[in-house]
Amino acid sequence: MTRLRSLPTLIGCAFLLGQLGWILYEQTRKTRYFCWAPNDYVMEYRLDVRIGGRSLSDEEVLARYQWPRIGRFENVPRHLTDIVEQYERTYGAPDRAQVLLLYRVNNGPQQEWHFS
Amino acid sequence: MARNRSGISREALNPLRITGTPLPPNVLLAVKLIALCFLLTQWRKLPRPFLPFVPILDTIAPPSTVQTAIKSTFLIAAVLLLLNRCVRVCCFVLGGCVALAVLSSRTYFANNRVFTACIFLLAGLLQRGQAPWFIRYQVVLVYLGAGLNKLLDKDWRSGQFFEAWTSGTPHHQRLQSALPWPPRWTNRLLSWLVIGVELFLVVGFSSKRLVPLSIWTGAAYHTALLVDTGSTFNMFYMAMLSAYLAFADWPTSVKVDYVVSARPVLRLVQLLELTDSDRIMATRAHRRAAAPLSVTVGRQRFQNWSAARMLLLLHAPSYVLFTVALSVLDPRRWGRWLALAVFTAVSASCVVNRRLDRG
Repeated sequence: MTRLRSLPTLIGCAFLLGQLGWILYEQTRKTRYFCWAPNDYVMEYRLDVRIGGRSLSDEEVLARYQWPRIGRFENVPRHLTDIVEQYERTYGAPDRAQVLLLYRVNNGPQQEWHFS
Repeated sequence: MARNRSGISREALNPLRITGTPLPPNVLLAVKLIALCFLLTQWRKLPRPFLPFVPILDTIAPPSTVQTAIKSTFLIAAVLLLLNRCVRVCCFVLGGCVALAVLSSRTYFANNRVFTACIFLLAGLLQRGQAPWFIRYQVVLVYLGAGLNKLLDKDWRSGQFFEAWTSGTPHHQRLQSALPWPPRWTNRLLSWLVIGVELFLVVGFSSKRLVPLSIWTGAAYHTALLVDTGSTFNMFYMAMLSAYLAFADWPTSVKVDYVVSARPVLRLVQLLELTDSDRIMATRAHRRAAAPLSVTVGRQRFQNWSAARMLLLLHAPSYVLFTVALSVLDPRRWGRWLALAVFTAVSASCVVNRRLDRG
């Protein structure tokens, strides 16, 4: 009982129990962060980014989001859209970029996501 | 025993030594292997803060300063860990560095890095003499999360994921065209095999009796992934297999009996003795014996190939050598075959051992 009550042990237990709760909670959402859902998706995607009527090149998109413009992403689409959206709402807000993400998950139907 | 001015013996500073610290030897070995692998493969890629999960992390200091601070702190803590100094604090610091790197950059987020951080942090929380059940349950949680996510995903249940996964890979296409049934059956079978393995590992690692089988199954699963994809998934292969060490009962002494006239055995024992930094081997030479090599660990006695296997499995430098090799070699070329060779050799020695016992 003394061991269970030591602070590091309590922290460890809380950490693990918190993880368990988070794993179950994330299964009810589309985000899948920190819930051990590794490489469970095959998302083929293409990003089209326009600023001031001009489309950004592959290199410019890579420099902007630190992510390739076209590629294969092995997490849920939400991870990629969160990267783009957070960039455009913060560092890139003055650019007023228009972003179109075309993607398909696991060879499914093509889907679109827009940001402007 | 040579000591430096602070009274610390040179033996205590030996990076290959895993005893004599507040951490259990198997856990210290695990975190050292993970730290070493990270230093060799990931340390340079520690990022600058960019699109952080926690907004303040990219504004507290210039990004390059934060990156330098994280990298320097990680390097210092890793070196101190390898030198057996303040091991629990170092684990905490290492875990904190990786966690901070992940939280400060969305593009750096990956399950393998989060797992690495968790193992370090949980090792840092261990009390002296405490069994590493934090780490054991962390492993269970990873497989639970992974297995559950797949089980609840319709694309996994139908095999659709594997159809997408294998669609661009020539060797998968060749395999599927060679099989006498439709590819969708193979895809569905593979899906359910993976789901079954991961959920079995949840149960297996939670049950003391099933731990040896679970370690073998997990190693087989991850090695198969490595061989098939040519990828260690960054830290995942090494971090997960190292974490399995937390399930092992690490002995404090091992009795080794060998026959001097068996030259290969003599050379092996001499080499292992030379590099036995923890001095756990108590060796006895014989002119004649029932077996050229016998190893006694607790109440268990191993002979011949299984004895050699057991000696290597209880020899910390063997793991270090494997980690360094796998970290340095390209996994798409020699790395995957090295992993397969080691896994096959260890598995084969178990089978040979059983046949000798029966025969």
